[in-house]
Amino acid sequence: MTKLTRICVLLAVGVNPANCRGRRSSVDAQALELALRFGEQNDGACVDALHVGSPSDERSLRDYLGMGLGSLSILAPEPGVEPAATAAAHLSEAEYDLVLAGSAARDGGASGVFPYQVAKQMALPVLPDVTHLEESDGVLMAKQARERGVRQKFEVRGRSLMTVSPLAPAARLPSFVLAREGTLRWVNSNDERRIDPSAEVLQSPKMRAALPMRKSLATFDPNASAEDRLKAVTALKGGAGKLHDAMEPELIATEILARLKALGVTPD
Amino acid sequence: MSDSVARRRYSLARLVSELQRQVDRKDLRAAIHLAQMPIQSRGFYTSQASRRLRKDPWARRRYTVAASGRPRLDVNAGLSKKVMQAGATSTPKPVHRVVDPERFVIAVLDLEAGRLTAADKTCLAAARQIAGLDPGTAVIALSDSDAVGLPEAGADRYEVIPGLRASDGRFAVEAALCSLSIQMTCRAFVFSDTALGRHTARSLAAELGVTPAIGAHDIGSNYCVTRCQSGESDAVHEGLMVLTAKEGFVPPVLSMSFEAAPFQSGVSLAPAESSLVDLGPEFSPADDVALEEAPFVLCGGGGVRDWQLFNDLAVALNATRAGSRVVCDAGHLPRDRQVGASGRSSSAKVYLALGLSGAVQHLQGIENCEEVLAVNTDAAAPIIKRADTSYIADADEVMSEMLRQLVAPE
Repeated sequence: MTKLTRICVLLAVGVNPANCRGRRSSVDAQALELALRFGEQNDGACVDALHVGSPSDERSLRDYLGMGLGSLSILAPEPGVEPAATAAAHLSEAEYDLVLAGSAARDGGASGVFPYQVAKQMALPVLPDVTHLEESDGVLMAKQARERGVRQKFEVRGRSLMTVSPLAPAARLPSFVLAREGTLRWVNSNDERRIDPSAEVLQSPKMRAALPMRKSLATFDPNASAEDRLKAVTALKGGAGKLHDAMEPELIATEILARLKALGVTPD
Repeated sequence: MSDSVARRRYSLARLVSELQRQVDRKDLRAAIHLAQMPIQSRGFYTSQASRRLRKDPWARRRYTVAASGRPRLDVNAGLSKKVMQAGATSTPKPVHRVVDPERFVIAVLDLEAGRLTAADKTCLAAARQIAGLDPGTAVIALSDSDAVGLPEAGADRYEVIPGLRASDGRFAVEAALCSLSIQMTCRAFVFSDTALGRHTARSLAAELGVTPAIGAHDIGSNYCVTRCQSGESDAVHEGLMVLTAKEGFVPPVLSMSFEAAPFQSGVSLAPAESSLVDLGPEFSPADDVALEEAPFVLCGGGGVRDWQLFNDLAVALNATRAGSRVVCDAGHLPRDRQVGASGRSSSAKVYLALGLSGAVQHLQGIENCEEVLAVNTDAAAPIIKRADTSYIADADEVMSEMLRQLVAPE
């Protein structure tokens, strides 16, 4: 791959869990942080940002500008067309090499699916849960967070879309001056021919006022006994609790080491 | 018959014995009155005043007479034999069988070294919740290697598809699952609620053109509910569902077993053209790994006196160091190594707690740990109750002994 030049970060408005007001989404800010760091380390890189949706919450979007982003484009989706299709048309037009997004801007069922819809429209491969991005000898490398602290390394040889993991480096705090001086640009996707007309608006789930969430205290089985229900409640708590008292430290050490080896966490 | 007899409350057993007593006393009027009293069912009596059916709290209890002659309540009287014989061999569970299923619920499992993880079990329980005990619906467990424990976890069928859990776009996983939904009637696709599971769920949902339900907390046979907008509203998903289930919100399957018979869907994964090249995993030193992710945590508490020894042991074991609040306050470990309510939470595979009492705040932080080993001098400490295996000993002595055995194995 030639030297990477253009990155676009998809930014959404997050929710403050304490008061339900809008704010920058923490994982989207982490995606922007990765892009900005990449831009600082590589002179040839240019970092753009795109918000898809109605610009209802300008203040939250300005938080992203406060991180050092010069300008942020806002793309209002065409009525009756899937927003992902509009975004895909805009992004293909600008020919970005890499599209970055946070793994899920806010909590809730459907959150985090938008980048995948965009990737499907643009026929890009998706690399999820990225934590590092670097370029060495003109090759773009990405690291993906895996279970148990492992990082999987990937070489990126073409265009792709990556979602950024919450385990990526923390985002810098926004500066008020930069937030005030940055510009929000409203863009229109003029080229309607490039929007796939078959992409209709997805049927969204029915919304209702939140009911209390109940942890499951029952069991699945219709004929479960009281003992089973007790087990179901206490099953996840762990602690079968074998107690060894009056054991020599030497023997304890041997036993613990043997157990660690059996569980496969220590080197042989 | 005296008023006192009429006002008394009777269960069937007491009524019979009272009747016997009145017959013995030859008080026939009282006996006839007693015999005419309505007894609806065992354990209930009818209040004489209001004629309402009341529960008799004494009905089910059994008494034994102690040596002193006083009655003693037999606490085991109402319990099943299983509870009374602790450690007795369990009877085989009844097996739910599905013959020629017409509808399918697909559960895609992550697995860790051929074992079901907690997330996988939740995933299968959620799939089971959707399928219910309908004889026409089968839960198919898909994974990329063989797994143990599928019948108990709720799988009717299983299929191994190599490469299913690759997350780098090397295989057209979504396309394969999509083709599955075309060739047979799928009611839902359920994934484990892990980063990988959520990734596949979202990308399959994009492929199918449906909205995924990530972290569903209420799952029924034809709907599932997720919480949105920081708890203000619920989204109810219906139709073809693509979901991951929130842990702890799905009823587990306990007293039943399922077939887990091999299944052939005929789906295979074609290597897809991808611009991403996998260069393999990169392992960072254990101590650089964040506590939330670390697989093996060595945690010291106030009972550890020799911190040099603790650090040496962590290096020798290749473990991630952690400490209680007391330890971090004292400056033995940096603040980002604090586990507990005001620190970080660990979901380690193995958590070795040395000289740690286990305050409630600390136990909150290790809620999701798989195996906890504890060494402490105090057998009454809360960590002993939480730990899977605990040893009553001095932490420093055990540490130096472990280090000696690690450095110079016999």
